[in-house]
Amino acid sequence: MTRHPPTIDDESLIAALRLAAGHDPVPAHVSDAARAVFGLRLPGAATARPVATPAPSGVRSSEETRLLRFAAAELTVELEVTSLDGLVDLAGQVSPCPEAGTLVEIRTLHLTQSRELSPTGQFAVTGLPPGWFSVVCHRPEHAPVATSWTRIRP
Amino acid sequence: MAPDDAIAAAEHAMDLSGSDPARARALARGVLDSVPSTGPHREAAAVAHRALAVAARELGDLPLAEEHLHRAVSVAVSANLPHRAAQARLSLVHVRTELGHPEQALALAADAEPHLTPVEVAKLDVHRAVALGRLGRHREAAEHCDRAVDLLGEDARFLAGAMLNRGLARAFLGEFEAAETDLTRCAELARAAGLDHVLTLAEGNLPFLAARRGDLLTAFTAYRRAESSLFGYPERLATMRCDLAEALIAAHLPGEARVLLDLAVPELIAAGAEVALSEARLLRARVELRTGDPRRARESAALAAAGLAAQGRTTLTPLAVEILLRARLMLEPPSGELLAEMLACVDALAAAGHSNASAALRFTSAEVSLQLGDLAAADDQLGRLACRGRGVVTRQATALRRALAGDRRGAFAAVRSGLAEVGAAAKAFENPMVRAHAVREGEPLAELGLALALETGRGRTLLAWTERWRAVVGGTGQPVAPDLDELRAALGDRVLVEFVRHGDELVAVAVTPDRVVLRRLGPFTAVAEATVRLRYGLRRTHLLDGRASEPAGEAAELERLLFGPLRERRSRSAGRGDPLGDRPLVIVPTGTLHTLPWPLLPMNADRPVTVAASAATWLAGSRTRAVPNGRIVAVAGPELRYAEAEARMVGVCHPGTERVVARRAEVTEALDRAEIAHLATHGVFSPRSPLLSSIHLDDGPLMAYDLLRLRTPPRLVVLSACDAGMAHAPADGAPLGLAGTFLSLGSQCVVASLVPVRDEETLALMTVFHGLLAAGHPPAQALTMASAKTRTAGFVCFGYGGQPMATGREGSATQLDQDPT
Repeated sequence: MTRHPPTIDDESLIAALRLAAGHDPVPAHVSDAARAVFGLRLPGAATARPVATPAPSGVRSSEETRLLRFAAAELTVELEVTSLDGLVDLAGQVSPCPEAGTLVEIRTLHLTQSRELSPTGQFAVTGLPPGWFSVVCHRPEHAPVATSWTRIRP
Repeated sequence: MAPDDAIAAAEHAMDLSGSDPARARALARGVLDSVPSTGPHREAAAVAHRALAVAARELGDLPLAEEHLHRAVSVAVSANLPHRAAQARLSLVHVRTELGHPEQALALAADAEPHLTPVEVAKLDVHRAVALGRLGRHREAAEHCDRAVDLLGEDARFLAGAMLNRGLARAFLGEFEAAETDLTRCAELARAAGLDHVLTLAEGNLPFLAARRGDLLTAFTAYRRAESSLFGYPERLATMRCDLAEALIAAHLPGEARVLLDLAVPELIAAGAEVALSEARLLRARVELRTGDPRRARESAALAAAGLAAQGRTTLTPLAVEILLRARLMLEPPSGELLAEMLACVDALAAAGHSNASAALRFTSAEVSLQLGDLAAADDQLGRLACRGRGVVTRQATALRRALAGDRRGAFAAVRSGLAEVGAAAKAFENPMVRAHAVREGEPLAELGLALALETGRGRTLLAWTERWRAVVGGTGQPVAPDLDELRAALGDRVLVEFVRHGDELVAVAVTPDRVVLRRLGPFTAVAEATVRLRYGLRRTHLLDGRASEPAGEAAELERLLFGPLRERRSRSAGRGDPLGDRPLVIVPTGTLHTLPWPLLPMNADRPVTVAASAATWLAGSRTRAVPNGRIVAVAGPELRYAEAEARMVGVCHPGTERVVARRAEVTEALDRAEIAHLATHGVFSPRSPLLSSIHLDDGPLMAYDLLRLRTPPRLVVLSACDAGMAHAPADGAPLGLAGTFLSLGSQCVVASLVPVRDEETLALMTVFHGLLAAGHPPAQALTMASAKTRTAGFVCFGYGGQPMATGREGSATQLDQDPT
């Protein structure tokens, strides 16, 4: 269901070199996409990187896990992904539970949804388009913590 | 090499080019290397180039194929060999079509035809059928194949091709039986003649055909087979994926379609298959629009429109423009300019023969006119649609027009006629998933009915309209609502709360012993997100996954959102208290609420709760009667520590319980005979394809699909497993999943969990539950009491849980069995 950005392969490298050498003009939508992605940058943010989640035991389910866990120095962001009808529901929790007034932003390449955390540090967003996403946690008087960009397939 | 020998060698290469392209290529190269490019050898060179072209086409290199064919034509023309030139053009028809120029291919065919033999004209017709198909002219394509079949004689390769193309054309025309016959014949011919890749193409079209017929299980099975046999033909594999994606879109499965298209598009770009690529982009744009991604839809549709225009495929271009406009409508505020472009597209769609798409866009244009405040323009557009006769859009237009004119009764009548049409068409599908998707065509009509009902502000009117839609979705074929008096009589002391979603608004209708009340609850999104949060917390708690906190806070929040307005306002009105009180509850959920563990809400701690797909199905369940001394079966699935003990416990609670070995055949057979079944197993819910949800047995999963074969399912089913009560409802009224499947087949009650449950805790809960059941408590009440006593949450009682079970034990329900009213 999810995968992390792949390392660049030979074909993409050659294509990039051709573009850089000016053999082919840069297509307009590539520049647009680059500009859009540039706009998503978060100066000073700490990146929470993916860490393994333990397999559940002692439950009556043998399902593969749909849980993702991202860890930064002092924060853990956990996410559960559900796909329905080509759209994606995300639920998650920030721990340890941050102080009141903490916001999470769920960012996709085209739209950003903002949610206040519940008193237990939970949040949910429904009906997201599949694709790349990142969750950013904004705490008062702290630098933001952003999960590394992750791709959800429908 | 003498000219005649060279020609013979080139002809031999040509013969081989379809079945053994690599050898054909070597042979044809040999001919070209050994003959001079002038004089009497030019004929051999022309034939050799054509053989190289066909071989290149077989190997997926369309530009190289085109290059060789152009050489073949020019060599033949320079040598004044019109027949050879026409033969090369015959092959070029196919290649130009695939490269994105079907109109030009048809012109080439017309040029070539006078110089060809009758058999060659037949072959030309087979290629022409592909071009016609690409232009959406499926009827003509089928006719050309008909003509070809009579003339082709024993030519297995072209005969197989004719069958393939005709089969596809017939599938598009909805002539499924004939299409299947053609594709089967194609496969037989190809197999006998050793034409392996034609065989795989024929088989590759089976998933498309199956999906078009609405048989999705067959479609996916055939797809997986074709996927492995088309390995090494990336362009054809991609085309097959696009075909299946198109059928999946028609079956309202955009998520699955999108996965296939994302795989196909890069392959088609790599192969230079411009025709297929434009179609794939058009499909992808449609999927992206439908899955709420208008930005990407706009990008894909623009690329598709440019490609289609360059290929001269004027019949498909308006479809891409339509998606562009609809994407803009989702991203921009409506404007007069956008409306004008939409109306131009309405005409272009109609002119290109897409009358349904044209009508649908005209309706949207009327809605935009309304938003812009131009009532007269809206009425004009609706008037044109209303005189079309039948169909969802026509009924929608008629209803909206009458409503605008203040004729609500007339509007309701139009909605009802439309829902009856949709219901009658969907009833033909036996598979509940296919049916639930097929009725979605009627969703806008149902929405209109709900909007009009909401305007009345009357609970009973809204209840009737939401029930009508649920009846259609549930497969009754008729938009009928249950009789309110009868419902009330069956409810007795219970309160039924039916949730209704209209756009992003959530509404509750409560049927109490003395009234029907309607309450608006606010935005649905807030409730959906709270539900997702609650389930998340509960899952984490049950998985013992570290820092998860108790979900009590989220449960209290949901209770406030869902029941607050019903309870507060009541208590304020004079002399009337909270209508829910401590009465037992029957809940009819909508959308995401199908995944909410209702007993978890604080107010339900001691209250029996049942969850039903509709008021009508609950009512039907209340009429089911117990079989005196019916059989009870218990199954313990593999890889669970406490399943065995649980099955034994069921036997202790209910003497005479039969242990059934956990194998699919035995369990299926037992389910068909049992009155009560208890299954303690692993469970898996498949949100994308709920009928693939399963419980684990010794010899593999028992899927919801497998249950569709049951004739007489148990009256009470206890699915003592994770997630087995989970459901996805593509449309309200048909919650799909394991529990939903049992209920749709006629089970009266299913007890199952909506979240992962812990093995050991489940044994404790079930022990108390079965003890209470044996003592004569009905399932809903037994579950509430057992959950409270063991403090184990997650299980829900679905269907009708108000009837005690006759389990044969002294003092058990045999004596208590009574009319549930």
